[in-house]
Amino acid sequence: MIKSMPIRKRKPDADADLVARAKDGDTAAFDELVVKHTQKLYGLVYNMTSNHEDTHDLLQDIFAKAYRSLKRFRGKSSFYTWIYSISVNMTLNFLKKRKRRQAMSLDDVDSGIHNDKDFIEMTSKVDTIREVSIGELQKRLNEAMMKLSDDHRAVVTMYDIQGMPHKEISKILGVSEGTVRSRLFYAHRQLQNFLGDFRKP
Amino acid sequence: MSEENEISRLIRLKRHERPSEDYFEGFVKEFHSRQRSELLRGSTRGIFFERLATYTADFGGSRMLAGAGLACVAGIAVLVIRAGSTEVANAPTADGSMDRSMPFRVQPEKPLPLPEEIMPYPTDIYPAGVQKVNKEGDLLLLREF
Repeated sequence: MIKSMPIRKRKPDADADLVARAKDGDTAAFDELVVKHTQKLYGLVYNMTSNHEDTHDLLQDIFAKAYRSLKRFRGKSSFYTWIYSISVNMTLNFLKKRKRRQAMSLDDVDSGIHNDKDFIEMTSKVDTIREVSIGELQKRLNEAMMKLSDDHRAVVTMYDIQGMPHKEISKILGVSEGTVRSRLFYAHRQLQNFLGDFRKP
Repeated sequence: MSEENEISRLIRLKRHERPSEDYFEGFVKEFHSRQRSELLRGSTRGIFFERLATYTADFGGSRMLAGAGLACVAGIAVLVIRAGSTEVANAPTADGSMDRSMPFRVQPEKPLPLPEEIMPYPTDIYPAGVQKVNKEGDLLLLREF
């Protein structure tokens, strides 16, 4: 008896309609794509650069490049994955060219942190987190991130900060899932050394 | 709770770092403004090379082939331009002599002597640049050849 293989249905791209219209020259459709993806892409680039001004300039360049390259987007991946790849690559190239470490230019921490479950739990258990101000905590976390290599910082940003699964990260970076997992493991080890005092109860 | 998990949770707090909502509302406007100024500012050559880079970026494994093809086209263009300038350089100079610095192509013909009716007076008496006497016996300054 022949067993039929389950057919894996690819999730339809939520942006397919907007992309098709944008390719036809509908600039309003492309604007909608920009509005839809700016916040997430901002988070990606900002956490890789720790600099608000650089993030702003890079984001403008990323969308400009996506607009110019849109005609050659084949739809083999989702638009989201495609523009994410562009963003990671352009940010990594920017960081390589930025020869000396730029001073951090940090965004404000929104008030939502006080309601964050992890924050509440950690401040109740770990004295060092309770004792420092939020500003100081933010500075320490950013300093620790900037000590990582660019590639390690990219995977930590996507996995830990943005909550992306390993499979999605591997597609964006064009590496295997195993590589993503090993980079994360190594990065976490590094961060444990940099942030050792924040782990002591 | 594992140490790795703790670190993950700590780093995750960074998602609360973000600009104000006003920033995102103004972002699209600034995007349009930048695109317009880029179009006005960008040189034709700069835009050409950028388009070329974007076009060749997707060739992947055929990138070498594309590069080789472009090199061939450039080489052919150089040869065509040099061939054209060589023909011009080997044309005889104004005094009929050959420019020996260029490769030999064609020997110009010696200029033919003017017929006697055009030159009524013998010129061997009067070297070029010296006076000549016309029919009326007036002195004329010969044009220097």
